[in-house]
Amino acid sequence: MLLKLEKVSKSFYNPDGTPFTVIDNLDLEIEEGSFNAITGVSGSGKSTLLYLMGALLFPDSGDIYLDGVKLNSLNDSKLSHIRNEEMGFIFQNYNLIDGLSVYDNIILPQLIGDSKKVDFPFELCQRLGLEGKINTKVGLLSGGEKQRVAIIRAMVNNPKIIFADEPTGNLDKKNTQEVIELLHLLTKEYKTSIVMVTHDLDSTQYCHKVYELKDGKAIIKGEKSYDTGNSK
Amino acid sequence: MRKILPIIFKMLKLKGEKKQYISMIIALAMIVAIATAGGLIYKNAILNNQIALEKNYGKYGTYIFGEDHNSNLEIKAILEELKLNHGVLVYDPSLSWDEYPDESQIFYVDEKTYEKVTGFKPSKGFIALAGRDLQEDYEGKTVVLVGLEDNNFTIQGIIDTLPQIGKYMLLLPQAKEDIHGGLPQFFLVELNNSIDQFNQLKRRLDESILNKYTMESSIAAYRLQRKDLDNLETILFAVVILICLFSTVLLYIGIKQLLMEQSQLWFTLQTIGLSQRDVLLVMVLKFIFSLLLGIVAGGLLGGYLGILACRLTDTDIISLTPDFRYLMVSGITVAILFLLLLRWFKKNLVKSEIIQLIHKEKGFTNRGKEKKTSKIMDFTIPILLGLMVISGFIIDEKRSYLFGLAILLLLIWVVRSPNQYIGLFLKSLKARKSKILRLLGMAIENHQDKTAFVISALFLSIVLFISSVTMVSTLKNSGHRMVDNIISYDYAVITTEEDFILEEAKDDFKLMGRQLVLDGVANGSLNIKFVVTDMEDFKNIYKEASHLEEIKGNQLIASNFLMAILDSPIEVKVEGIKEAFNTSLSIESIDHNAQCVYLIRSVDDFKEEYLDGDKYTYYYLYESLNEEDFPKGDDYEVISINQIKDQWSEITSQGILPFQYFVMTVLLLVSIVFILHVRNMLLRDADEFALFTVMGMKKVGVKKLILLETVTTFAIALTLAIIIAIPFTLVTIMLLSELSNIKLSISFDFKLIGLYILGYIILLSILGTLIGQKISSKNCVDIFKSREVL
Repeated sequence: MLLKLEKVSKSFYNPDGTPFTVIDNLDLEIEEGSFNAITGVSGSGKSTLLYLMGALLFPDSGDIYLDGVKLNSLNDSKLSHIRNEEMGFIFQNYNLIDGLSVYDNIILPQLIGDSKKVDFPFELCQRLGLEGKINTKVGLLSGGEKQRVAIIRAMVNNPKIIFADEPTGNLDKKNTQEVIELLHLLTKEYKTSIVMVTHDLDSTQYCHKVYELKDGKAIIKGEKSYDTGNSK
Repeated sequence: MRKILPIIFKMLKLKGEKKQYISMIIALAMIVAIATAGGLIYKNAILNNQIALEKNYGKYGTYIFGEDHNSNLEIKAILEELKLNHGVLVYDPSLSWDEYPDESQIFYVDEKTYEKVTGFKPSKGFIALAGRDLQEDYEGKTVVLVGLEDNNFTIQGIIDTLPQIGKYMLLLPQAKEDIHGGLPQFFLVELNNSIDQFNQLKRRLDESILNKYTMESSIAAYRLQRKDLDNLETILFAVVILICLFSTVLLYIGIKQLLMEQSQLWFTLQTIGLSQRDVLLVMVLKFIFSLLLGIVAGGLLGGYLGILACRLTDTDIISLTPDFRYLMVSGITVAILFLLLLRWFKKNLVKSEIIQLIHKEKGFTNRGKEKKTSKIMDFTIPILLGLMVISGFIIDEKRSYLFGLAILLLLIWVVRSPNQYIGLFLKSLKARKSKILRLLGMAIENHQDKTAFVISALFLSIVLFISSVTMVSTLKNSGHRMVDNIISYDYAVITTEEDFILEEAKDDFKLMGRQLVLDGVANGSLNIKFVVTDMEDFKNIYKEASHLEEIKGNQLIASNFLMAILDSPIEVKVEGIKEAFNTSLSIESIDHNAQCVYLIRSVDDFKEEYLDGDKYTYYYLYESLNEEDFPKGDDYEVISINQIKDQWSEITSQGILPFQYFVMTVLLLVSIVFILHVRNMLLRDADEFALFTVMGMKKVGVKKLILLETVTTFAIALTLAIIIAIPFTLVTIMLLSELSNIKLSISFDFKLIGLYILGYIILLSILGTLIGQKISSKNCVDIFKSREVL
């Protein structure tokens, strides 16, 4: 079990001070090398759950474990290390640094991390068709290209898990398909686990598990075998 | 308009909109405050200076003049006999100095003498007195003393206070009646003095001709100081214009950036049906509302600052109305700012394709913006350099190294613009092995437009500071120039009120050197009246004085002593000096256009005739000051040359000191506003630093990076600013000096500049640390979320 959430709850507050619970006593497990999707209506707390898993937010109660390590008990330094080495993030609006080149954006996690040398993933770039744009500023790329850069950046430190927050939300159908296939590829070839938040059920075609978040709980909507990909 | 106003009020609910209003109000208020405070200080400083100057030269009734030279001499003789010292007053407030008939016909008495003789304090009232051929017209006759209605009491006062000599006469010539207009009233006084006595008086006139020259030099000095003052006014005005212009550029780029931040709002407004004209109208109304509030706030602030500066520097507040020209400058500056903003707004946020606006959400990081924002750097520097080169040709060839430097910088700029050099620098940072330096290079590169803004603004503010402070400091110290010319060496000074004590001190300490006599009358403005010096000393001093071009060594041989009457500013004319040396007691004939008069005679003669213990303060200048060698006596005091300089500085800086306060305050305000802009800009980069956190950067790393970025940006701006500011300041002052005909010895106030830069470094470091703290303490999810909403 790579990631485990035990009785996790998270509440936010309305402007008038009244609390509303987004995640309620939720239990969830993410297997190693699995491709998972979290769906739900707007405001159901999909992104909140994703950020809780990625230790970008902390639960009000309950525990989150990554590889047996309790994330919500770690200090900033250790968490930063885990985020850098073992996690990758992909966002709907890419969160790339527009003023920097593709190369610079991709190597950023390596610069931030403890590794001494910078190892640029040329091969991955080639596979994703970005080899001719390595020195282009990302501000000049199309949406699909940007998301591919974001995916490579998320992969650059070979993380165990990638969290993708509506990665296809800004893309057209063709690009959506490409990105989903690419994420699928990552799980297949690199054995990287993926947790993807999406409201687009079509995007979940390659997912091993599809959860629906409703009233703060995650309900499994669909499941496939890792090896065969057959629906259960 | 009906649909615009509700939109404006609705928009006011937006946080960004409020910030814009506040920033614009502050910016406009600052311009108004600068002009109000400057105009107020300027007016009061100059008025104070004028009064001091006129008082020193006794504008309020200390001159007498007759119709012609002879009559003046006669008047003088009579007045001397009357124990009126040099004369009684003639003053007509309707006449300016320039309108006096002939300076050689004006005689001078100090106010004390006047008061002593007449029993009246000098006032704006006047009596016009003049002489005629008394011998011929009035011997044994009743003569007439004439005054105007308002001033008859003064004449009466003279008569009353002089009972023993009350039978002399004074009268006003017809010419003066014409000046005053109307018929004068008459006072009848019997003249029964003998002609012999009168003749005796006349003979004495020949001996006192020297007084005439003294008076003339006094008037010449007045005129020169008056001219100095006028030039000073012009230069101060130029400094304010410079401050206003630089501040406008800073404010313009600041406001522009704020407007850019809301490009999505402009987009939204247009998509919901607002026409381009409407959007422009919103912007214009916004400016007008801000201006109205800015005028009130700036007027109050400026008035307060102006009065405060005057109070702090003991400058009498004579007028509460700012100088009109300054208000004009403020109006023009506001208009320029408005036009610039309007033009930019039209071009970028209105006339551009609507859809492009959406891409401008993130400020300057959209496509193709780099070129536009880099204009700030690419244009400012070459304009400054170009000005330097042009100025260079106007000034003189001797300073060719400055023009050389300007041309060199211009060439360097032509090869690559400052932005490109900065780009190269960043590349070199990115090429480093150190990760933090590579990250720093990337961070700065990503913010290159913002960085360009910060660097430009910092650059401009530092250039502005260095040039303004230096100009004010130069003006403040310009009063030193005479002192510096005279006292080129390290001298000990003994100051005493009594000549004999000085002599004793001289004997006691075996002093050799020069004696400097300050004109005791001329308190309130620098007026070194006499310097007594021996020939060697004279030569030593003036050989080195840059202004002295015509002295020839072999002309300065004949006399044992040389006495110089020096009036501001020194510009030595030595024509005819050679002849003067041929006699031990002679008076150099004076060219009235000359600004300095030399009298060649023996020191003893000089003292006997001129040095009245009540009127002068003596300073004995002694080489190689060592205060221990000069124990303080009961009757005299040893002071250092610096104390004298300080004393003079205090006097001559009258008017400049409040101005210095003003400049400092303005620059401080500009700097604070600027620092707030930097803060806002760095905070706007929060999402990027949040991204670094997501990627695993520790909080301490984020803090370090922000601090490093701030410091690096500052270092680039500082380096550029120093390279440009110093030659720019030098050339500007030289140009002003040339245009105003004032010999300004440039004085960089390195202490102040250093303090300012140090303050800036500390402030920006604190700012960087605080922002780092703030950004790193925020949850990155919150930062991302906040960027997604307008």
